[in-house]
Amino acid sequence: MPVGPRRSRALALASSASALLAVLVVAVAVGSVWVAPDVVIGAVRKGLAGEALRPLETVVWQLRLPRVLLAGLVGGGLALAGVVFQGVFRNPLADPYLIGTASGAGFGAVLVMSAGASVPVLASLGAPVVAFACSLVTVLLVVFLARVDSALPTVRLVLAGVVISSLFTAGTSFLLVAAREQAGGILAWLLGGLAFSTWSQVRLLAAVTLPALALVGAFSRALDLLQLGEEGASLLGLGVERTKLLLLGVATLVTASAVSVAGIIGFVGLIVPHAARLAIGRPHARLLPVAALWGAGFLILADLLARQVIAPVEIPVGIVTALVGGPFFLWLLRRRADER
Amino acid sequence: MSAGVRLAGVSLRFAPAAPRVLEDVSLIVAPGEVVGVVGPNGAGKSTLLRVVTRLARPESGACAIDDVDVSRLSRAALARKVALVAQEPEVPVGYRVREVVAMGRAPHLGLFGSPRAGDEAIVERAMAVTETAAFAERPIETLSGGERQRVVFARALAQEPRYLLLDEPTNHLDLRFQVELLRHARTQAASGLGVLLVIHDLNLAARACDRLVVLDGGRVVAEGAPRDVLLPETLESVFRADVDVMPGPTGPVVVARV
Repeated sequence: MPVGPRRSRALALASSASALLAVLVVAVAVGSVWVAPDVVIGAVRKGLAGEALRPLETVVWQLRLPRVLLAGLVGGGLALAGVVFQGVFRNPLADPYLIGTASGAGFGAVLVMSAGASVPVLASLGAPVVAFACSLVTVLLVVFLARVDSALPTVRLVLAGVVISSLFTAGTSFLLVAAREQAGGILAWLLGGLAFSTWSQVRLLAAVTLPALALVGAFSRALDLLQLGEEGASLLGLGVERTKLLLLGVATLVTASAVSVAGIIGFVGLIVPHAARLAIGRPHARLLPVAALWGAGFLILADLLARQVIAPVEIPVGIVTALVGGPFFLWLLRRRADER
Repeated sequence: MSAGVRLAGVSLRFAPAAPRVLEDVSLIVAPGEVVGVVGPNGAGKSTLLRVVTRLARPESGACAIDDVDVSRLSRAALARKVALVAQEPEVPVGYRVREVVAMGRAPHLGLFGSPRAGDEAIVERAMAVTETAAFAERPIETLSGGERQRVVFARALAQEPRYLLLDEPTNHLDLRFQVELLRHARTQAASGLGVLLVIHDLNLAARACDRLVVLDGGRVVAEGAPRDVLLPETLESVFRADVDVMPGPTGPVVVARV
């Protein structure tokens, strides 16, 4: 009898995972040179074993695979963060940018890029660490500003997020103007780019994103209970404030590490969780893994477009996600309006 | 030492300068009895339920459940003791009815435990009793107000509390389901639950409750068996309306003069 939900969960997961695998292979195969899927698989096998690679296999192992995996991790991480923010704020329009997380991380990374040469401390810490520190500061500031007694009312949280976010965006703009000749390069990164992906970035992001996915997955029932409102969740025994802070902290960490390697890529954290929820419904045990897989696939495809549309020139992937995501988002809004 | 929900001299106001919402309220709900709270709008009825569930803290007085002060219970321990069916409960978007009812098992599972066959059986029984099993697989947002009310009641039953607090549970229900719900409340009481019921319909209150507590301006102004409490003098002074009270076959009948 309660077979239905479990089977549908397994089915959604299996089909999403196989679709992602197909997208992965295609994205590695397509590029300035076509690489047949069997060569791709052979290159991966040799790369993992540490064997000598032929030139085409080097392209796969050193250039395309890290880039595609990084796109997958960034996309999956942003979708995960989106599910958490939307679930905690109970606002379908919430995303990793709403509470200033991404702006804070962007500011931190730009700080290192523009002032790192003159302030050696910044350079030695590196962009990811400073980005995470800055986005943690934004979250703490936002929570501090929004707090009433021991509660975090959603409206105050969102308002505080908007204010803090615009402060950090202003700071970033100032750094860009002050950076003068470097500004173009930094701006290109800020718009979202995966062109210079390396295996070390893949390892860094995997070390953050995969454990975060497991942790949030373990809290999926808590995310369900939060949908009953703060009081409703309390009445079913949830320590609401502690749970919210933990989930927001994890989502912040994931967002900051994604931003520090790939710049600010919008719409993934907003659109993907939304679409997944429309397709398969809410219980987070089902929604979380599916949204993460879809986010990964979506960004891999967006990056494929970004490097192929006017090849050999690349456009920032953030522009692609905005061009695809914007209209989709408007369609969603209209759809919701029609339903009412 | 005795089991029951016990309020002793509870007073509370929402802001330092505001008038008291509850003033020196003392009240006991023993296991196995249905206690009704009646009174005009703004009398403090819902606040009373919020004190028991620790959503509101009294400024003086105490509330204890089975001899433990509610402030000393963890949220989960409190949720295993008490279930509240709120007046306008929030309905979570994107869930099927069965999933919403199953949320009632949360305080028994802890954060990371997974539901066992026993939990699923409890959820099934709660849906059968409330006649919500027929739409178990439907998204909750497609249900009517009355159907949602029954789902929320089913969730409270799935919670298997010792005490059941109901805030205007018959609000969106038609006559048949009003009667059904109150019957379920009585059945639950017969099997040992204590039920605290806030209700506007005095005639249903008279039939469903063992005792009635009349609240007015945050104070208890009358308490006792329905036939001793539902007196024209009491009701006219509390509700500021003219009423007739007549003896009926199953208890007093209250009719307002229009």
